[in-house]
Amino acid sequence: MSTWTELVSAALVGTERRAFVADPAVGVDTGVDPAQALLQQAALAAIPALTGSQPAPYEGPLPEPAPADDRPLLPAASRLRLRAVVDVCPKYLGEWLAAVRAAGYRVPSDAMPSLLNSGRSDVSVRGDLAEVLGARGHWLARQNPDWRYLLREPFGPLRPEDWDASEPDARIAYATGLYATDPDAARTLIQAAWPTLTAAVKVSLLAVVARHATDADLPFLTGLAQDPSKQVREEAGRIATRLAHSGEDVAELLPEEFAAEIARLGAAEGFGADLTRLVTRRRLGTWPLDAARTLLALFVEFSRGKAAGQTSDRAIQYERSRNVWTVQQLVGVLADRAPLDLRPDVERVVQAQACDIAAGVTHDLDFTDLHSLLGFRADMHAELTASADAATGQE
Amino acid sequence: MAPETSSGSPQRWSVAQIHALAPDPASQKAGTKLAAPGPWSDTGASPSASLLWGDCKGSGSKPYQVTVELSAPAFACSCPSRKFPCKHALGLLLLWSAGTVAEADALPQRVEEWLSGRRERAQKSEARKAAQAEKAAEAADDPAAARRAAAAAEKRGAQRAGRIDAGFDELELWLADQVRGGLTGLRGAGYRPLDGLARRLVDAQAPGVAGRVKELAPALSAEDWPDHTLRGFAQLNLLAQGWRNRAQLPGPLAATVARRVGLAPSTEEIAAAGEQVADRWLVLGQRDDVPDKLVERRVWLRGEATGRTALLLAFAPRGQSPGLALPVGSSLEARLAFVPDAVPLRAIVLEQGELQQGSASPSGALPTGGSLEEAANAFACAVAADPWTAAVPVLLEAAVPVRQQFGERQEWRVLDAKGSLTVPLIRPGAGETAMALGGARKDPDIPRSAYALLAAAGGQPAPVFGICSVSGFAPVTVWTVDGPVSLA
Repeated sequence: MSTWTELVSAALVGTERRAFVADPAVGVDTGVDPAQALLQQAALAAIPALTGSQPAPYEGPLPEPAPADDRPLLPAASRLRLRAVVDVCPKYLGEWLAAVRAAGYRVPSDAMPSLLNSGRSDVSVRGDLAEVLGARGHWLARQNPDWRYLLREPFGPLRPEDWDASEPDARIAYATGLYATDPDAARTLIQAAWPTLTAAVKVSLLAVVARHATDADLPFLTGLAQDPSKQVREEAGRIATRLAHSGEDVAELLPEEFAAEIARLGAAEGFGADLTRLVTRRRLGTWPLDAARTLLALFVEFSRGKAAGQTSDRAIQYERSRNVWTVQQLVGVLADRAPLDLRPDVERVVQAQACDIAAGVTHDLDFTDLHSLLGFRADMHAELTASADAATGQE
Repeated sequence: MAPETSSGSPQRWSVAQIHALAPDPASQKAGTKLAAPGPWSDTGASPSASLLWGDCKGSGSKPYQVTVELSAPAFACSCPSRKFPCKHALGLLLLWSAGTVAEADALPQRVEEWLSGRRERAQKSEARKAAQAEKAAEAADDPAAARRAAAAAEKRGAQRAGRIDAGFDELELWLADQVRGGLTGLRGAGYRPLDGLARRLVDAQAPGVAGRVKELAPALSAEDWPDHTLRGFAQLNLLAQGWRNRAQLPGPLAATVARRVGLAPSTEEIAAAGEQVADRWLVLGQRDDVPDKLVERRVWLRGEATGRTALLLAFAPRGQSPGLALPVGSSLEARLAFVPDAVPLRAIVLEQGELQQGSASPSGALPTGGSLEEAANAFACAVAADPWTAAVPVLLEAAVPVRQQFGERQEWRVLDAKGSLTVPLIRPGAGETAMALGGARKDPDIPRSAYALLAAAGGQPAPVFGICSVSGFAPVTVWTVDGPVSLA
């Protein structure tokens, strides 16, 4: 009988150009047209290829299994939240991961790929991500070059032996961990080892320094002007320049001064550039409640402003609409960074606004989004602590 | 363990079950975002009538009013979305699933009104049905009318068979012409001749054949296109022969030929003629495909006592839920009717009991799987019975993804840890047509699929349910220490 290859070649050429003789052994009726005979014979010859992919023998080792994680699994409500945070509100991923880390849960392992993908683009979440994913996440990150960044993040207690490891990633993870807890010791350690390091490791370590850089790092950084590697010289120069200019920035105010400064700037010039800068530069976690309240009060006052100053002047109207846009951005900042205790205040504002609108008073800003975003964040924390209470209650 | 068991009555739906109701992943995400008390007010649940309601703050000043009837399930929402159920209904269900909707004794007026409206419509439709049934019964009593109806049905069937005959006549001529003149010419002509032929086969009311012809077009650009093309032609030719000789074929094979041609038996025919199997069915896996403007949902079941595998199919226009909200790992008592076929797999549900979330013991929920060698045998047997078989569902007992070196090339494979055999790992849904041979292995989604499986099972050999096709094994579900995980 003709082989499959012979049949394919006969079909490519065509039975008109090259005679095809049906194989009588196959049981195809020899009386039929040669093209039809070829098709019938091909149907039989194709069967081995159509019975699926033949299994191939495997002699390699089994994959290294993931280490066990004995932390309790994230409760059901928070597993749902995980999807919402990763897919819909990635801006709250950092805050959520920090809360999960503090609560001491492990995440379901099938969620790890999407979390590791989030950490690729969002450097700020990596520290908490490494702790939340734990040993199992590090095992998974080793399998995919795209997730290698996680291996440079410390997790669990610091292991000094990592600094002597042959793997540069482990050394960088240790340096990162030490920098967070004891920057002086980290600096001494890096400086001592510097002459023995490769340029690639040096650049990675400089990235660690850059994350925590203070003026104390300046002598070390300026000393690197003589480094044999061009990349190291440039990177060190960049960090040093940034440090030198950081003094010109608005220094972060003490918590008690922050609210007063908001009130002062708000009274003096409304929502001008200074107030905008003050608010947008303020980091999460350092927002005192009274500052958030002061800002909220300014927003409410601004929102009603239109009713007070009705005007037909186009220039003023234009100015006003541009301001509304700016203030809307600031409301967004407040939603993301305000302490959650602000929520009852916002609820009162939303209710008062509804009464105003019913009474015919117009408003430029809508605070329901602020309310629901604060609610999202509040629920996100509440379900982590609530289920912890329930779990301890059951035991 | 058993993270999603329910407590109290009525039985609360699991998150997986609610997600299975979502018409598409975007609605799933949007619903998940709304599953927090934040935007909700005036929510309530009635235990007796199994109703849920609530107001959801949207972008407008008036909140959207959402009502869900759990037993149907039926959904109503005042939002303008054409998705069904919409994100608000999904959010409310998720909220209730998390236990944050309080039970209320009295129904709000709008819910009462909606409910009575539904009852009225249901009564009207019942009345219509009864009237139709009465008419049919009258017709049955009148032998002349019955004969007329049977004759009309036979005439319609014969008309369609005649059209299909004509379609196959043209197809056979066309195939023979290609082989006579040489396949090389076909490649030069591109997809147009194939497209035209497929369209004429649709007109000939042979959509199954048309689909096969259409699948040949993309294979023309593959490296080993002559193999694909000749294989495809040979299978089409065989189908034409099968159709002509269908009267001489054994019943199940004749049914297979008819189904491959595109003559799907009606639900009534399946219920009347299909083999009926009652069992406790475990949901092995679920996958949604979105070809054209349709959502196709596949749910695979495994009978606990019979060991039979069944495939349920549901369709819906895009943006609507195809129903069949059967989360992986749950089980239900049901009587199924299998579609008559040489390899019976597709089935419809005749009667079903309540859905059980997971099993009492985790090991009880885990069906026993087989080896890759057994899977290969099962595939060969299926092809022997139905030569147009392209894929078979398979449960592997201990599978793990590995990277295997083949000369210069490294490839993701599924390793059967017991038999030390591997097959290529492919993306869910890929390679289920005979024409997709080879091409599926170059899919950029393969690593994503492999990492998902690796992450879920932690590199340990684990039970994996998937689809074995000519191109390899596409994982659908893996059983982990935290329960089953859907990969498709």
